[in-house]
Amino acid sequence: MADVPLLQVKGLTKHFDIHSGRFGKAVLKAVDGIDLMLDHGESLGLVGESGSGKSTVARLVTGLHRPTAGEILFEGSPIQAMGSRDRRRLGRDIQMVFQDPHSSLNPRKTIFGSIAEPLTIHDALRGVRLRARVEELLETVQLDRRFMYRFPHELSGGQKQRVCIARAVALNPKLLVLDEPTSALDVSVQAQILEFLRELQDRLDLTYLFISHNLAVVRHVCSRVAVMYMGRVVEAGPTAEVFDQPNHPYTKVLLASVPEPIAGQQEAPVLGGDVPSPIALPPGCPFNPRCPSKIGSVCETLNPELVPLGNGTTGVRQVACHLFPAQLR
Amino acid sequence: MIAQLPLLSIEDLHLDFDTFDGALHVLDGINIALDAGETVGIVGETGCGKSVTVRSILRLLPMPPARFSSGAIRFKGRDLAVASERDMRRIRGLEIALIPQDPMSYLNPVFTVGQQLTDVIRAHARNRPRDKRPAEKSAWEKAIELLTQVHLPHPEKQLEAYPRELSGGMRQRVLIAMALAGQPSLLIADEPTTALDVTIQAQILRLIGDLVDRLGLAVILISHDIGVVAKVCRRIVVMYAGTVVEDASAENLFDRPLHPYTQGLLAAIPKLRGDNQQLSGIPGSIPNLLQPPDGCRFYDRCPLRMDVCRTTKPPLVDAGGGQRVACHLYPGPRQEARYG
Repeated sequence: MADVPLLQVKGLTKHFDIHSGRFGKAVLKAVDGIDLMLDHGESLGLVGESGSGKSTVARLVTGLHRPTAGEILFEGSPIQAMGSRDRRRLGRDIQMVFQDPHSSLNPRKTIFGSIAEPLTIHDALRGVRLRARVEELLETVQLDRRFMYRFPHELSGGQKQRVCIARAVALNPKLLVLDEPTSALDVSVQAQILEFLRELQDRLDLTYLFISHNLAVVRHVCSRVAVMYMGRVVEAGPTAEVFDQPNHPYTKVLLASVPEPIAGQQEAPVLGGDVPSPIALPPGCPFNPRCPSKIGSVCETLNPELVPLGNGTTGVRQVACHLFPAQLR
Repeated sequence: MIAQLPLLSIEDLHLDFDTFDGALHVLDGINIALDAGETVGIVGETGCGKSVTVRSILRLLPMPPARFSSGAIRFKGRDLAVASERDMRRIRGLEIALIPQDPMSYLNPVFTVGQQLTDVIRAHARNRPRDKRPAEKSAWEKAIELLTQVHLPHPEKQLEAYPRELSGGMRQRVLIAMALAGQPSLLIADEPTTALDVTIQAQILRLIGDLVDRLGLAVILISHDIGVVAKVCRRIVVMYAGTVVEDASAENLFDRPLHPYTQGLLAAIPKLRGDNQQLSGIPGSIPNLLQPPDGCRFYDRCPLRMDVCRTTKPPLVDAGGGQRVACHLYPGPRQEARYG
């Protein structure tokens, strides 16, 4: 049991069929063959720009989408092959927190009602025991119990996100998938939620799959990071190493593009061009039309594989770029 | 001291919104001045009044329910708070232009980029006084020139395109071109990159910075992201709940933030590099603006509050080095002078 990663994703692919133009049918390659691994108690950040497929990965892992190809193994067993009993079990073990806390709470349910719902469905809790558990959960997320009979519109954004987190941890999940959990919040509230999430992870022994476009937030919460571009992982490794010494040209530009709160900062190179359409991906490496370090025709014809680059201090670094050929292994 | 008048000076501006529950005191004595060619950023969290402030400069707020209760907005010596609608038409676009937040909702989806851009160019030509009209040139040529200025590739082709055919970054470039069409002396950018990805954001910020240098424009850039503001602006104004709490050069603000709110805001931002330090949020939430506190509006959340803060509103005072702060911790030179 000890060696089996909590979550393993192998060659995960999700293509959406979409209609384009008057007659045309097109395929949107949202996620195009990615491998991820999450050990118990780890926090993996998934970063990328809009359209990179990071949210689709979250939805695939939580079972909201069915993969087109590839495998998702939870504690070593493939989730697609699970029977209904195991699936139900999976619903307890994998929980999700969404970006917008306002739209993910039912406006007609009290806070008590929202947090109690998973408990009544999965644990068949009723009456005093249900109430006691909800109170306990509110305490876990540092909310006063007087919020219990209030409605979502009476709470601030940060308080609502705490309620969503309370609901997600109600069934003692093993894996928490957080999809941009602080993007809708102001920075002073975001800081509170991030610190709280770090503390909660230790306390409840949780594993996080943390999705965000905000690199600094990921740096703060995650021990490892995977950078996505156009449905592929282009670079992965320990967060501090990847951010301090990025290898992939895209990671470099992405990091250089973040406006940091420093006065008189040096001018960083700005990446030209637009994010390509995921319907018409360029052949070869999807980053080649914008890449500042393109080496030649190989970039236009061959999509580089994600290959290991030697050991970092806390894990393996991987990169998918022709500048780092597989021979280096 | 009477060297020259600032280009724009907002003087003790108070603005209320009338609601069924009473008047919301949205702006409570805003003081901001900027000179020609100066770049000023306004930062603050949701509800601090930064968008309302710039919208009141252009008088784009619906009035009623919005209402100026006192103060003045002096632009080139004229008070925009009391200017006629006719005068405002000559100011919007020709003197002061706006780059909005969400480029898609500011472009009409049923007209091409060219139709919309030439409309703006023609409207400006009509509104300009006859003697100041530029040499006759077709609106279409002028549109191509503007799109070239904002580095939009293939401008002739893009003029025929509908907004939905452009990416978010390209749409924002079109709106910047529109803002430049009237050759304004002041550009207001209201969260110009919030809807964009970070690599595209970097392109747009670079473009705005270049235009400012090349055309000598004054800029007010609003953002909730202090990093975005630092890219373009030399001076930063921090707002909180309808008040200016601090106004300083970017260097001073980051090196020695004076107001407890500014300090809290900077401590709350996760850093991209360096040690994984502890973040501290600011507990509590913004006050109810229907019944704002009598004293400092940050009183309830302030870690350094004193008795005087509850009862007396701190004025914005000079704290040296061009840095101004509204906090009782800093008495300001005037009071000190009394004892010296």
